[in-house]
Amino acid sequence: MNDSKNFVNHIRPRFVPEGALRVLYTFCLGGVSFLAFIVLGVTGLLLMFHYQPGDNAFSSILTISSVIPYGGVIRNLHYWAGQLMVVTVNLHMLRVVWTHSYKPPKQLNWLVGVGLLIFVLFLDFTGYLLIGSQESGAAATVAVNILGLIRLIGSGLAQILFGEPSVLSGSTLVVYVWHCVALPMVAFLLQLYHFWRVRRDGGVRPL
Amino acid sequence: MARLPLKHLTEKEGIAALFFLAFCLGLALMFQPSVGTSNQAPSVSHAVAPWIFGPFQILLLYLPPRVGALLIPILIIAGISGLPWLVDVLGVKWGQRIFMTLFVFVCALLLWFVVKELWWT
Repeated sequence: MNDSKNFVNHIRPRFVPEGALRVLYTFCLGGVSFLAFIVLGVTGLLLMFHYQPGDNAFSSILTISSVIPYGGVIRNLHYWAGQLMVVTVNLHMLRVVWTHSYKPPKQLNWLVGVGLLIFVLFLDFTGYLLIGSQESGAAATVAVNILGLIRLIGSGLAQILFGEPSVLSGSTLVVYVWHCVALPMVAFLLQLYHFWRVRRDGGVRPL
Repeated sequence: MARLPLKHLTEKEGIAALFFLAFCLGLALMFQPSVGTSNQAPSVSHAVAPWIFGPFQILLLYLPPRVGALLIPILIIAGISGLPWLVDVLGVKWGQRIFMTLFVFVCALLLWFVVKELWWT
């Protein structure tokens, strides 16, 4: 079967170039970022059983952290995996620049990677809003005000992205759906495309 | 270049995954992240952004919102996105210098935020 015609074989080919196996070349940063995404998906799913968006968000977080068995560890794991993903994605970008892996024919994949970085930041931000604390309420207010600076579409965009955040809590059902469904789904599809492009554009070349 | 069976890659990915998971679990067991201030409590006088958005907070503190929150971030994203084309036009050396300038600028803002909001206060 021709690899170039098979999506799965591009993501997980039967053979890989020897250079791609050098740990000190990639430092596994892309793979580790993806693993963080998986950890976030699993722990996020577990948190969804007890989390309540809206006015009860903050109290539900406290309940998860202190009442639900292992809830505290699951929430901590979700938090730290999220922070580490931001770090590993940035380090991965630096590695790509260091090894010139953005050069033709990889320009499109570079753009996809930058898009994924922005998605990761949005995921982190919406996750912060879901805590429902005063700080997340303030962050939501700042974000809505920033979007409001964009003429014509700003207020509509804020409504689409945040719903109607209260000053005291950034947690709304709209933010919840963005954080748990829409953003992760699009990010996952983009990641599959990103991995596929890595193989299609020539995989990993040694320095 | 020689090509090796996938299992060689899978083994290394598995080892990296185990290290990462152990590190995550260690952090989760040792450090409890803050949940912030309850919305039932008296209002906080000064809200501090999460560290990831620290650069934003610094820019908003010293620049007009249209510049600090829209223009500069858009220019940074455009500069980073356009790296392959910058390299095409200006050469690898200058293209990468522009990228690193933008990256270091954001890191410097983050450091400024950490010193000002998290460490100094």
